[in-house]
Amino acid sequence: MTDSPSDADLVAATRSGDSSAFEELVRRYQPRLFATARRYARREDEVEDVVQEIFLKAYSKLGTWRGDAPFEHWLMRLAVRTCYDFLRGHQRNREQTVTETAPEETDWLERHAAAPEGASDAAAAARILVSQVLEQMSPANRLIITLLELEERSVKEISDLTGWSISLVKVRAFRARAEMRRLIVRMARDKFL
Amino acid sequence: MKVNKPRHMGHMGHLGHLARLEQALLEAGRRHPPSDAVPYAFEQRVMARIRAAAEKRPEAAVDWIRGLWKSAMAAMAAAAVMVGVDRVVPGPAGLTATDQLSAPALEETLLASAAPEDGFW
Repeated sequence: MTDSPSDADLVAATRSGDSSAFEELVRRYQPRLFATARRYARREDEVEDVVQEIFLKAYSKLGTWRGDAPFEHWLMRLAVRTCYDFLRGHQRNREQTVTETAPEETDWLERHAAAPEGASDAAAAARILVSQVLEQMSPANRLIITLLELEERSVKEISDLTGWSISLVKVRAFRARAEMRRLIVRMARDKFL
Repeated sequence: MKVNKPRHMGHMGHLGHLARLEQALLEAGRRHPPSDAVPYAFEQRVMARIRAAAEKRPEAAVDWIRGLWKSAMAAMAAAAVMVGVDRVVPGPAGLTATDQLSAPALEETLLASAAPEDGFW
């Protein structure tokens, strides 16, 4: 049984005109990119468009990968920046208001207000509430909270992924947390304030 | 449904409750990352788009060269017409534009302001 070719081999083959090598790269990284895109796009057709765009950009910019860092890191940088562009282009999604909170989510908030330890973190309602809060945030703040709090990445990693300086990431993280708290207060005000 | 609101919660209590709520929501988000499922034959659709884009690229280059060639032809035609007119139509004192721009004519023009007028001295 032969070993599967490395990313560097596949990139080199693609550059020399073998498009089937790039198809192998797509197969290799598509699950990871779909999971990433689903953090930022809600509808499945939007998710698919975002992932397609990432791969098209990767194909056209393959010459800029120098090989001194893993291909995966280079691809993830491209993915995060494409997702950020998507968020900036779809700011209207933020217009969703707290009034759209479904009875299940309201019930979860009420149970958490009454007994925080009793409300399950794994509840589907809690996950929906997180999504609602994130969807109301500005694109930069949403990106920071997702990378920092949900994916638990370091400030340095976020700086590498976004291209923002470390100090800018810290400033944006501070603002993002403040915006998230404001939105949670607005969402939960009737329950315990 | 009756809201079970804590009656005697002070400002600090609210802040503590908010912090716990924030942490509970983030924890829920962390525990359930999005699915990494891939739609059927997705890689084939990506490759079809890449091939379509690659096929379009030479056509675009041919169009660009064609446009450039047309512009160059128009400029050359205009230049040819102007040279022809210059040959046919004489300028002042029977000189063509080429004669007027010859070195002695140019020198005369440049030095005209510095040359002493008749009777000045």
